[in-house]
This record gives sequence, C-alpha cells and structure tokens, in this order.
Amino acid sequence: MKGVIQFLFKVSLVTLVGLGMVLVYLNAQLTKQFDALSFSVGATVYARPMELYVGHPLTQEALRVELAALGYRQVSERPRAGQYRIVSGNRLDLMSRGHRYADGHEPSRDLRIQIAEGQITSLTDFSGNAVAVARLDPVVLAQLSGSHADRELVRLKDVPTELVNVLIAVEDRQFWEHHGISLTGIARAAWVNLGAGRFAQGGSTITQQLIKNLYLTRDRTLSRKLIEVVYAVLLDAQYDKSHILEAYLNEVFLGQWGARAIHGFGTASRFYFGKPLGELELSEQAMLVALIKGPSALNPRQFPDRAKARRNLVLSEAAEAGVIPAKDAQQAQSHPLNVPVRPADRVGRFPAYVERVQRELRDRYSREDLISDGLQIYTAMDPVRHAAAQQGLTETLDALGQQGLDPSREAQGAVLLLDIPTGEIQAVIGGRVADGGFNRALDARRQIGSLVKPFVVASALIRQPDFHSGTLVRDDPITLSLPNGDQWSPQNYSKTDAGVVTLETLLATSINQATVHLSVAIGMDAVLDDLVSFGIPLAPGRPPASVLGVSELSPLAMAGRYQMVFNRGFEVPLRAVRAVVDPNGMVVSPKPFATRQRMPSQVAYQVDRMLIATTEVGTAQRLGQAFPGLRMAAKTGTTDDGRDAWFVAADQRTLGLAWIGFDDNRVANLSGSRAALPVLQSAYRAITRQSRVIPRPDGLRETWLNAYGVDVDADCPGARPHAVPVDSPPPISQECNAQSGQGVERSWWQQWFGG
Amino acid sequence: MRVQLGCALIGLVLVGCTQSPVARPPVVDASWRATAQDRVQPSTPRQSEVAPPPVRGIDPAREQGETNRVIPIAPVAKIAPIDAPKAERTIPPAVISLLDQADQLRVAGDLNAASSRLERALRIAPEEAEVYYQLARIRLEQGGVQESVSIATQGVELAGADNALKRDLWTLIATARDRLGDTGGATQARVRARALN
Repeated sequence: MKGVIQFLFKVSLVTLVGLGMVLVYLNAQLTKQFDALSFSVGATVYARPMELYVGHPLTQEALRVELAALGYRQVSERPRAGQYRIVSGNRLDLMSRGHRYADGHEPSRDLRIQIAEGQITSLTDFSGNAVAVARLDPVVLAQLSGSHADRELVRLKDVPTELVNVLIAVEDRQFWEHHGISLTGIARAAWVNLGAGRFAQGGSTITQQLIKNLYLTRDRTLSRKLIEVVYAVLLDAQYDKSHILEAYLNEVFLGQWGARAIHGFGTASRFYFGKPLGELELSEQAMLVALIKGPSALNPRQFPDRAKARRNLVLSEAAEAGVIPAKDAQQAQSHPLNVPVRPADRVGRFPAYVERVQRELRDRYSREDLISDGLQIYTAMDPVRHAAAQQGLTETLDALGQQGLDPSREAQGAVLLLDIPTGEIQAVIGGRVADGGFNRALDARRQIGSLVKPFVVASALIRQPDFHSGTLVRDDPITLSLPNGDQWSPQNYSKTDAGVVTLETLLATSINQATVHLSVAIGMDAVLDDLVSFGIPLAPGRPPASVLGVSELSPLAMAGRYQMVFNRGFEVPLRAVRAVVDPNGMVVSPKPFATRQRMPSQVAYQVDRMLIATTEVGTAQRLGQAFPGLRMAAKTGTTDDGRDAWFVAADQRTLGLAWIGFDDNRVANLSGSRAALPVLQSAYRAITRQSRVIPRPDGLRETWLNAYGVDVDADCPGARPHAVPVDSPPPISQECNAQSGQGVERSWWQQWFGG
Repeated sequence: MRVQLGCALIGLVLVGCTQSPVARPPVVDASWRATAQDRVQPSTPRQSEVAPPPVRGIDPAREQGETNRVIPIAPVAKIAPIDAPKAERTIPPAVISLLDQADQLRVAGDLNAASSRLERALRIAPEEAEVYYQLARIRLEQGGVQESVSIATQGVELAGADNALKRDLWTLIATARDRLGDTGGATQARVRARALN
C-alpha cells in the first residue's frame, strides 16, 4: 500500500515537473514572440506637410488631391477636424488636424483658403482673422517595420475611449477583471455548443482572440482551444491589460482585399473609411467592432444589409452595457454605413524614395533601430510631384516602345525632382516600375555626355575673367595626341564646322569641337582640375575626353552638380530627410541645411543664362515651346550610339533630371532631347511652375552682342542679350555686323598674338 | 529667314578668318597655350582625318532635323532683361511670422526648433537674405562656425542693395572667422562691413 502511494506520488511528481517544463517552454515561446511583435510600431515616414500662406503657389485641384490623400472628407456643414467644405469655386474652408512636428505642435485650426491664379490669395480663420502661416498634417509615405509594412499601427492612447468601451462591452465585458480567460464565457459557450451539437462559439476573451490571431491556426479543435487557454492565462499573468489590448487593436483581423489582409483598427479605419481612427464617428467605430465577428461575411462593401444589422446590434449591446448613452446609440443606428465603394489608396509605396531616406539615416541608426524604434521621420517628399515624375517616365517609356526605339520594352529610366535653393529631394523614381528593385536614380553609374559642358564653360569663365557668353571660340577639326600615342579627333554630331561660335552657342547647341578647342585654349589640365573641384570625378588616366563627358555619375550626383549652378554657385547638400523624432521626443536633424560656394556667382549666373538660351534657341527648344512665356534653363545630354539620354531642366525652384537607357548599356539610338526631355516636359506640366528670375551679380552688366561678340545696338538683327564683365567689356561698335570694336586699340587677342 | 541670316553672318566670319583681315575678332583658339601633354596638331582637312578612337560620351547636339543648322545665333524677342530690378523688397507675412517664432525659440534656448522654423521660412522665401542671416546666427550659436560663414556668404550674395543687412552679415562673418582663428579673414570682413556704413 505504502509502495503504491509512493509510486503514485512519484508519478505525480514527474508529471508535474513535466507539465511545469512544458509550461516554462510555452511561456518562453510566448513571451519571445509577443515581445518581438508587440509594440514595434515601426518608423513612420512622412511626406512634406503642405504649407499654407498667402502667395503659396497652389491650385484648387492640387489642394483637393492633398486633402484626399490625407483622408479629409468633404462636408456641407461647418467642417470639423479632418473635414473641408467648398464654399465657392475658389474658396475652401477646412479644419486641419493637429500634428506634433519635430519643431513643435501644430494645432488643429479652422482655415479659410482663397485661391486664384495658381496661388493662395487669402488665408484667414473662419471668423476672418488673417493667418500668416499654417501646416496641414503630413501624408504617411511608408511604415518601416519588419513584418507589418502594410499596417497603420496605433497606440492605445490614440484610440478613442468610446471605441475601446464599445469593443469591450461587445467582445469581453470582464476584460479588465479576468485572468485571461472567462469562466462564465466558457460556460456560456459550452451551453451554446451543446445546443448546436458542434463546437461553434469560442466564448473567447480578448486575450484569447489575440492568441488566436497571433499564434494559432484557424481550425477549431479542442486541443487548440486548450493551448489557447493556457497561453491566455500565461499572457495575462505577465503583461498588463493595456499592453494586451493595444496588441489586440493592432492585430485583430478585420478584412481581406485581394491578397491583402486587413489587420488592426488603424489599418481598417483607412481601408473602410479613408480616415484615421481618431476621426471615426460612433456609427463607424461600431462598424469596425462589428466586423470582428466575421470580416468576410459582414463585409460592408459586399453585404451592406448584414453589416448594418450587425453594426446596429453592436450599438444596442453597448448601450445596454451602459458604455454609451442610449440616444447616441439610436442616432448612430440611423446613420448610413458611409463606406466608400473603393478602398482609399493604401499607404503609398515609394520604394525608391524610401531607400534614399534609409540611406541618409544609415549612419545614425542601425537597421533594427530604424524599424523598431517608433521613429517619426519627416521628409521633403512631395506626393503630387512624385506622381508627376513617375507619370512622365511611364508615358515616355511607353512612347519609346510605340516608336520602335524600344521594341523589347526594356528601356529603363530614372527621374529626380529637387528644390534648388534648399537641396531638398522631392521625388526619386528608380525605374520603370516602382518595385523596390535596382534604384537607377541612386545607383546607376552612366556616362554623362554633354551634361559636362556647362562645367567646362564655367572653368573657362573662371580662368579667363574677360570671357563672357559672347566670347568666340573656334569650331573646326582638332586632333589631340594623347599620352599613350593615340590621336583623338572629336567630331561634331552635325559633321559640319561652324568656324567660330560664341560660348552661348557652344552650350546651347552642344558643340563638341568648340568645347575641345576651348579646353585646350584654357589648358586641358586646368579644366580637368576644375571639373574635379565641381564634383565631377575623372576616369582613370584623366582622359581629355572628360571635357565631352566620359565621366560616369549617378543621376542623383549629376542633379547635385546642376543644383550648384542653378543656385548661384552655392552647393547645398541634397537631402530627403528634414528631421527625425524618436519616441522620447528627441529631435535629430541628420543633415541640417548647409551651403558652400563652389563656383563664383558671376560664373554660375552666366552659365545659367546660357542654359536658358538652350531652351530658347538650342537643343532644348522643345521644352521652351511647350511652356510659352515661361523662362526655363535646360541641358541635353547624349552619349555615343545613344546609349544614354539625359535631360536636366530648371524653373525658378524645381530642378528636374531624367535619364533613359538600358541596364546592359546597349546601343540604343536615344537622344537627350527626344528620349529624356519629354519625361520632364510631362512632369513640369503637372506641377506649379515659375519663370527663372536670377538677379545679376555685381561685376557684370547687361548688353547686346552680335554674333562676333561685339557690343552693338539692341535693335541689330541677330543681336542677343548678354551679361559681360564690367572690368573688361567687349568692343563696342555702331555697325551691326562689326567684327571688332572701334577705338579698341589692343584686344586681348592682339595682346596674346601681337596682332 | 533669320536663321539664314545667321548662316550668312557665319559665312562672313569664315571668309574673314581665311583672308586674315587686319582686325580679327577675338576667337578662342586651341593653338595657343597648348601644353606638352595636350599638343595640338594643325587642323587637318576632314578627308584625311584619322578615325576617332572609340570614345563615348560625345553629345552631338543630335537634334532630328536640325543637323544642318550650323550656328543658331537666333535673334530673340526683345524681352525684358532676366533680372529686371525688383521693386520694393517686401518680406511676406508668413516669413515674418516664422522669423518671429524662430527668434522666440532662440531666446528660449531651443536652437533646434528655431533652426527648423528658419528652414521653413527658407522654403517659403529662399531669396530672402534675412533668413540666411538668422540661420547663420543660429548655426554660430550651435557651434557650426564654418557652416555659419558659408550661409552668411550666400546671404551677402542675396542681399542686393540692402546695405544694412550686408553689414550685419559681414560682421557675423568676421565674428565667425575670429572664432576659426582666421584673423586676416576676420579683418577683411570687418573692412567690408565698415565700408557699408
């Protein structure tokens, strides 16, 4: 007898120890997974907020696109936060949402916006008091997180209390009291199941539902149910209720759209109602709670009647539980479902831009920190401009296909849009498809062709202070003996010689021989040194052909070189990220605004003007013709056999760069003006534009020169406006066709050659 | 019609060149200043030209239908000069508001937030030299001395005829250069500031 008892005791002990070990194991598994998953809200990447102030270039349409992207809803009564009302054709009232920015809180405020002729003409509050400047909330570009890239995660404190109360009243009334499982719930379920003769109702607590969503398969077996109960108890013992509730709110399955599963209330709020959770009305909150029961069967888009019935039941139960006033429930029950037929565009996917953002942050944050830290990342990305750039590329590549220039439809491209004075990157298109593959805007290294010429001319203007855009350069065959013994005779594409050209013509029509003549005249070594100092690295051996663009740069690097020219010679480091806020509210600006002069402003000014001439009379005329009355600067670039087509353009604020070519660098017969120009033509058409106006720096004066660089009357045929150095003016003549000045005793030419 | 005229003009130039007239236009000519490394052969006629080595990166101004266009010194409409002097310089209210906010934040010691407001102002009015002055001042306080000089230098470039602002900018540059140990540069900047009094 004693032996039997002892035996039983030993068996029990072993069993208990075994069970304990299983529990410890299960617990370790559970906490490991739960901690890894739970509150990694990830990093949120925001687009630039739209700034509102009198004078801001903006169209009614662009404003409405922005409001739509932000999920603002049009109403007919006085708008509340996240709503707007169109008062008349050019007036719009809105109530902005507040947002905590890196530099402080932008409060929610009432704004009356008047727009006329492409800009804001009046900005007041609803009472008519002037508002100097206000910001809308920013569009979310991306959530950076390992597994939940597609979710709009929420923190418990940001979830409306009402919604939480309704949820608990309907799904788990004892949530705040029980220990993970509810015995009354299980008893009730058992009763129902007995009646139904099968295992139909779960009687699950919120904790159990979370476990089910997180760890378990969907099959309804008793063993699964047992594990679920064990897990629920363990979870409840180790984490506080609010922790569990927050995980539930972000995890619960609330719908399916094609291959995309809708998890969590934040995501569902966008998916069903196109607005953030905080803006849902009671009836909408109840609809989301109703969906927990059966997201597919109750899908309000497919089965509006069923969905509405269930929603109203939720409202009744919540009222009966006393968490909402009965009359509010009744009122909400009378509301329509209010679910737009199509889901709002999912959180935008801009892999090429986001990649740039991540690279800017790489030095400061590890990959893990980036996705798990709850960082708020504010960028300069402009959704409207980004769409314009992508559209421009897509249209152009399609056209190349149709024209037979790209029969295989394998041509690729890259587009960048930058704000010239701040160096902020507004759009990055890395290829034909925004699939997060090879990012050509950042990583392709391609020969730059004629994009180099403005820098050769800049070098000449620096080294010869008496040079100006009207200075004549020889354009006839030239042969250089290279150090390795080869002979190099660059040719003009036209296979003709102009004899002499002005520097302006050299740039505007991109003449090769004249560029080489100019470089040799200035001193090839000096020009090559200057190219390096402008940030254009040379191929090994410093080939003289560098002055015709054999250097290889990425589109982004090339855009940076032109930013300097278009910004009066001041280079501003390009950046996508404006500021980062960590979860403790610490603000970091990884790359604050900086500037550095790398080219004298007089030189940048003259080159800029020659590039304006390029759109007026040169290789970029097509762009000029597309926007009559708008002054823009531009440069085309094409490499040998048309392997690369480049185009750079600038209006007053925006620098655009487009590259088209093939990844395998094949012969393609592309040209800058035909293949790349249309990309930017299309992009500029879709954005606000301003004529280039650049104040003339000291040391230069305005005059009119004829084709020989002689200062003549402005009315002379063929005379063009030029800025010339005050200290060494060109010769002056009364004769329109004069080839040299009268009264100029010894020109620099004569000084050099003793003529 | 006008293009033809341009071509005719070029014809004249070419004739002029070959007949070596007394007064030649100043033409940049590669045959002067050639260094040993890049010796230039006398221009050879095209027929006997050696084939160019396979050099890529040559842009040919390849405009369809424009290949015959030798020299496009096209006349332009008599438009106003690109830089018609701006009338009165007025700082937009939005920028004034942001400058005020930045100043309050700066006084309160929140230099990051102040800098961020100024960057907003810069986005609204990137031509406004006052914004550069304020940014340069903040950078100096933040310890970015070299950055401060650079930003102020751009401010000088943008200040146009605003001598009072230019003087402030040069004074700021002098202070920053002192801090960098560049006494000579600081003195130069002070001289320029004083010249604007």
